[in-house]
Amino acid sequence: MAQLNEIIHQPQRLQIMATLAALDADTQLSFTYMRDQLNLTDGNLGAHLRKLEDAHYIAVTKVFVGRKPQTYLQATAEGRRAFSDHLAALEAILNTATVSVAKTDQPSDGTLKLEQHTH
Amino acid sequence: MNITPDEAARSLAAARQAQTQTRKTTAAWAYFLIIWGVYWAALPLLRQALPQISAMQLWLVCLIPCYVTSGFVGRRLGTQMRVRVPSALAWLFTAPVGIGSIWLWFAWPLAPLELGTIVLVLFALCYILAGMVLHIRQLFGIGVVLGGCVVLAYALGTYIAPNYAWLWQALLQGGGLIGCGVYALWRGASYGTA
Repeated sequence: MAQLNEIIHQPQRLQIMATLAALDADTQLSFTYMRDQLNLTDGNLGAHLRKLEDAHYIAVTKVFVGRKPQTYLQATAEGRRAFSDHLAALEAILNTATVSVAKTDQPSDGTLKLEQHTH
Repeated sequence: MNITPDEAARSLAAARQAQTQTRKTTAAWAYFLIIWGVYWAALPLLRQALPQISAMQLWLVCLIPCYVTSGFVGRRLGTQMRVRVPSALAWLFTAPVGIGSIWLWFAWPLAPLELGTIVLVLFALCYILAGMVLHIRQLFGIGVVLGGCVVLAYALGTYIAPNYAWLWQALLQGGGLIGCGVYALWRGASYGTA
């Protein structure tokens, strides 16, 4: 069963990975677009990107467009795999909880129990 | 690492929202289809309304706003993303258009209706070829829809209702391109919500 990924689970990094994983393999997103989408500062986004880059989940490319430096981001194959495993783990938690709720839907004492499953 | 089902649901919702937003952004290329659809719809209508002006003059005048608008959309998309276009794609577009241009050179002069039809057939062919070779279903679909519309417009305008030839072109060729663009935008916007 897929495991939750601690690096990806942090909310901003999850959104970064979700955004990049939705792109085609040949498409890169600009740093400024990502910053504006997530409402983060340059420094904050940079820190999250470094963590993801260190884990080899994203590739960061710096190029010059005219005289301006531009940074582009792209999910690596490893990053896409890790993200999809993380989503599968989240869905598994949700599905197990739904099954548990269904099983305990008609309790004899009239209370609703929600079982928490850990992975 | 332990999380509650509520946390899992929130994380999944946030991830899906981010993915939907990205799909919407990447679908913005469809504005090119809409811009050129408007061009191919406006041109025949203007031709119908202003028969005293030559088709070539109208063609050239209408090109300017389309190039400006396309440039604006392209510049905006360029600040958001960068796409590594396969070199084969460039060849799949330039080769048929190049061969077609040489053929047009020898076949000249052509009636404006024939010229418009041939140009769009060539582009439809490019889309179909690119879709087949690069396995991009969207390109293939655009080519088939555009090609079908062009052939239908030509058949209606030549054999069935020649008095309304320009109107058929506007409706089917321009409308076909606009329809493809709107569909691509809708696909991008509705991704993950179904």
